[in-house]
Amino acid sequence: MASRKKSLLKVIILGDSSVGKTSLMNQYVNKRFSNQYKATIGADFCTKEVVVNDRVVTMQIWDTAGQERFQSLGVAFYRGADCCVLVYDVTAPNSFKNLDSWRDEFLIQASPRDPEHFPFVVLGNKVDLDNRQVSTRRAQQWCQSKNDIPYYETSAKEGINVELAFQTIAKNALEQEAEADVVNDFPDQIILNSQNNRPGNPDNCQC
Amino acid sequence: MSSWRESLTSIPGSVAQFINESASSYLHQQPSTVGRADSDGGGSEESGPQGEYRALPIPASLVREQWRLIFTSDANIQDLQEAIAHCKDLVLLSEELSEERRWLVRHLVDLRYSLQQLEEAQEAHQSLPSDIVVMDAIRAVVGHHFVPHHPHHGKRSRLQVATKRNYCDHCTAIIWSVVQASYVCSDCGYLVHQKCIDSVKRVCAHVLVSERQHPVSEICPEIGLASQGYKCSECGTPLNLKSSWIEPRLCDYSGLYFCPRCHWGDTTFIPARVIHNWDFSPRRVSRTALQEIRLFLNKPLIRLEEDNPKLFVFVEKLCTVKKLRQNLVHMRHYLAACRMATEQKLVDQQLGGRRHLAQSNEFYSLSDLSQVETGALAEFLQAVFKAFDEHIRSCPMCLAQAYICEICSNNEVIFPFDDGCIKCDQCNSIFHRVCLTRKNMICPKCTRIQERRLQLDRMRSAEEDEDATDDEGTKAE
Repeated sequence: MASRKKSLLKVIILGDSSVGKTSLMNQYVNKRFSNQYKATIGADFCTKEVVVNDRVVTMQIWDTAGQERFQSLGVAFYRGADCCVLVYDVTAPNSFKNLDSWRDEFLIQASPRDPEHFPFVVLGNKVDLDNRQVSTRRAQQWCQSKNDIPYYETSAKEGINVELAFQTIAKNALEQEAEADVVNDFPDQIILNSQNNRPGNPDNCQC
Repeated sequence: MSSWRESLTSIPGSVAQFINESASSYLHQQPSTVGRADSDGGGSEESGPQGEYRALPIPASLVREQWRLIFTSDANIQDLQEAIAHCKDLVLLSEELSEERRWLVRHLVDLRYSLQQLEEAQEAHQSLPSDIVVMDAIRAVVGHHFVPHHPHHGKRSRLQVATKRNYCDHCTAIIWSVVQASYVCSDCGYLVHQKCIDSVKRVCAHVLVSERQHPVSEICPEIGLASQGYKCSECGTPLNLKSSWIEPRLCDYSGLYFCPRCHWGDTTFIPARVIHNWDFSPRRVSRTALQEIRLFLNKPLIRLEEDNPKLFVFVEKLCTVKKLRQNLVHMRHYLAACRMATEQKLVDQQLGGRRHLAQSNEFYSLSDLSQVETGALAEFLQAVFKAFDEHIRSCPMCLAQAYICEICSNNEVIFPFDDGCIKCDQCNSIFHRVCLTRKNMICPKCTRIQERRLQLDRMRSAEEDEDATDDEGTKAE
């Protein structure tokens, strides 16, 4: 049974610019933090091996550009994601308000099999700062309204809750995977460079 | 004669002004550069503020210090070092953005350049036996940087006969390279006898190019001989219609008349005629125009679509090139974001010095335009497109950042440069053309963005209302 499961989990981190997506990933993967801000251009990924439910799996974490002007390219890598992490900054209410649109965009672009039950995780980052603007209650309410999304308050700077959050992410991703396995015909990942998948051919259109 | 003068008055004001400006830039002299041949621009035309390269006369307030600042060719290293130190002090004392400071800074550059040359010459002198005279000194005259010209040096053997005769740009006589020393300007290619070097009148075409910044955009803006005073616009030789030795010759590029010494009847295509008429037929131009056009040749300066939008309707080749360039611009975004492509230096390797072709699709250089006409540019761009396409379709990072048509939600990836795809100008999303057509060309993402904005506005106004009622409540209490 275990051999049938793939051991690669694809996780996408989304959120407004400068909420700390890259920092969270760096804290989790490299245990490092830098105070300097450097906008991510396009997208990039890191991998980390984790043990979930006594199984070793490789987590492929995709870090994305939050700034609109760096989103000049497409997001085909959303496809085949196993979990999506939505990050906001607890000191910036707008980044919280935008979670809705990040979630919607992700569901449309990734078009998962069961959008209602696709595993999301919400992280409220920068809890080490004093000028907090979004209350825990407000964030929890939103998460409950979206099918009980797990919610964590983290600090990439101090490393608070980062490990715990990513453990949950890995676990939920693996569960999603298991559900998909039951159906058993879920494609591993889109085969991007196969010859018969040439873009621009309207005959391939399934609608 | 009188009718010529009358026709002059009928020239529209702006054209006449333009002509006067261009004529004066041909005629302007650089008195102080001639005066101190030892110091020269030292490449300041390229790095310095463009379009204002002009050796200014020394400001009146600095005349007192003149003896400490200006040197002739016999100055030694110590003199120059002192002058540099003094000049530096004066720069700090001068007012910001003043004429004086401008003059002083430019002079400081000149002095440092001279000092460096002097030091290099001395070093070379020390390492060589003392009886060999160092000949490599650069001589600067009216903006030219003359270096000794050795036509027989290089790979060609001495026994081989020179295939081309060289003529002096100043006196038009043959340069007998075996017995006559000659100089060539490293910027514009002006070739001159050693004996003629001090009487050169033509301002270096490189200086003109950096001052003008764009090629002359009017087709042959002629002003007539009368307004030139029946004189050659370059050397001032009186022109006469009776004698063929001093007949006036029209330069089709600048619209000015020249004497046969300054206008050798060279032919080239004219930038303005290409831009306005797509006319590449060669026309006769003066020497200075020829050198200028040559220097403009590879500079991407022409916004063809802005200057002449209809050209793209009439010239099919231009349309092809425009589409190819648009695709390359899309591809460059991928390659710029891709680590592997950056490591391979794919863009540099394919485009070399012609990066502007994939930077945007508006700027063209003159050589681009002539290659559009011959078809060479389209071929070149096709090859680049193929190489880029090969990378993007085989690179996992580039493929990860492809698009998926959200209307059909098919798993196949699409790219902005694919044929059957269309881009939404507002949100940059890519769709299959057929899919978007089925949706009446209404972009679903833009609709969502709009809805979300409305929703946020509603939420905000609701919050404000709440705050207002809260305030009232507290007041009542």
